[in-house]
Amino acid sequence: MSLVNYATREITCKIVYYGPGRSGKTTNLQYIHSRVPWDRKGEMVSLATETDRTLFFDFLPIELGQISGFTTRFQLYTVPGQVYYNATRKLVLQGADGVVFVADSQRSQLEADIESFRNLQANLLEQGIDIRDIPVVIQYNKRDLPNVLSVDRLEEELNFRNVPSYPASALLGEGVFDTLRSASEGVLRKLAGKLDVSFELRNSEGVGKRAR
Amino acid sequence: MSGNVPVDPSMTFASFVVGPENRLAWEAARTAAESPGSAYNPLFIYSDTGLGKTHLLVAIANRAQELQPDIAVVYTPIEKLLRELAAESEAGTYYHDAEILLIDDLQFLGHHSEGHRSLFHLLDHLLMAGRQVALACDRPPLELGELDDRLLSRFSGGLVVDIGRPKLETRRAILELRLSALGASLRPEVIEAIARSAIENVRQLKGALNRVLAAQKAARREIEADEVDRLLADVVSDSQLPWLAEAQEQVGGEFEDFLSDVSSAVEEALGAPKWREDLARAILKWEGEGYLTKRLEGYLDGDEIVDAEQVIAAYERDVGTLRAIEEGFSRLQAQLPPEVSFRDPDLVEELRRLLAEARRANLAIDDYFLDSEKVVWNWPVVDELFIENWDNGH
Repeated sequence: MSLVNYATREITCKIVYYGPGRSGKTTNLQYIHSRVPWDRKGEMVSLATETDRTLFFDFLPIELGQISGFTTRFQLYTVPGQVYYNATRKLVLQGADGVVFVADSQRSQLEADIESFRNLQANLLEQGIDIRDIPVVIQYNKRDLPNVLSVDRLEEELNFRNVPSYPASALLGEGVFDTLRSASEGVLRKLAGKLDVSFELRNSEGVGKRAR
Repeated sequence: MSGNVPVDPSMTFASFVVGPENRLAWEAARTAAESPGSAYNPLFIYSDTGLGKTHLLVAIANRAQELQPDIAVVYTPIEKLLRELAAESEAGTYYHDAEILLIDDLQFLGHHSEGHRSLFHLLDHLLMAGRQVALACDRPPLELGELDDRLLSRFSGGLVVDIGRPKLETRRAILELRLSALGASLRPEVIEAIARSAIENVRQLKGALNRVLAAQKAARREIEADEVDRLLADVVSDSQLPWLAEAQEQVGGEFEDFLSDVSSAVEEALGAPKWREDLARAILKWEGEGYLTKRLEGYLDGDEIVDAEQVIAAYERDVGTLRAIEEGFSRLQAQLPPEVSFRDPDLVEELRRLLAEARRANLAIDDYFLDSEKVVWNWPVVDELFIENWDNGH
């Protein structure tokens, strides 16, 4: 996907929410959807099983409007977390400009988190993308639950590449926009890198801040 | 009680957990029970299913009877009421004699004008006589569909009040009250996990509690908080999220902040490189004149930084050459093959070749002329020189 199309003066940014089953990817999108004014968002498309687990994917288009004369839109996707839907995950990953990895902070979910992160790397590699070359943000979700691992421990297990990471409770809306803002920064930073300039998102407390 | 539908004596005002989202409805219902007909008449309570409408109607009945054991209180679902009014049965007289009439599930009112008329007359009779009427519905009066204006005004003429979805504090209190009523116990962190489980429907919340209690009993040990999620997996729907109900009120804030940050970043990213701006301007200009600009777009989409001045100059030279070639074709009155265009600067060499072929085919004696030095030229050669000169910057 072309991030910036100068001919049609459009910026389209595809961010994929990745992570194990039931880690809260869909909840992230639902929270964002609930906070976006109706005239800025498309219908959130969710294809789910009867028990509300995401079977195929969720898709949320957001129109940011005209920025610097460019029609700017974000497309947020989730992948199905369950192990057996790998083909779908690969499909959704295609053309991603950035990835948000939603980890489940619960102690019992650590193995699933690690497995899913490995799966992300493998699926990116299959598309010829080194995970170091694509903006990735990690969200440690479900911080509001009692039996969670410390952020330090999760950082040790998952964040060996030292990417931006955020604690969150998507169910309560905490950390959801911090995560999205950081992922957007990563994607736009990459764009700026191409253009040989550097920048930071301004006025954005928490962006780039480590979870610790 | 004089009612024809038995009511649950455990549904009282004391057993209804009051929070900010239902306090007004609770207060109004209690007033209706303690001083029937004095205020809020009729009392119209609406909410989504499972949030306590029926509980409040029944609490009115229980409280009123507690205060005045002989009071004539009738609680009835709307369908039963309409059926009995239509049948003009003896049961119908209950309603006209009621001192407090409590009508539940008003959303099933239906569209029968005869039923609407009977209901209007009944309400009119009771309200004129100062009797208390309370109605419960899953929507406000205006959303009940095609209603007679008179009936609509009866519904709306007292107090219309809604019950919101319980917030976390209220859910926690509901669970604790329920546990106390059942004489059961759970670890505090388990209660917290159920309260936070995104179930906002009070009935489902109680069902979730029952499920966890049943699991605890079956396992013969205390349930851990991290088991709750699994136990309630098929009860919790992602559509029942705590912030959805309040979302409409808070829309925009976080998003606007986010938009502001992203806008700054995009402006900075796009605004910085002048060469891209120059290329974008050139693309817009030449596209506007009908020329294909894929060569320039390729530079824009690429990762390499390019010398915009140089690539634009080269492109414009090719456009000039295209124009000269087009003029040459025009003078020869030769046709281009349909797949070739004078609007694609990437086809300059191909067009130059085609023009040369066309000239050879059209060469005629009157195409020759003498220049100022008496050298004989023919037009094709002059065209070539012209094009060559254009290529070399005129």
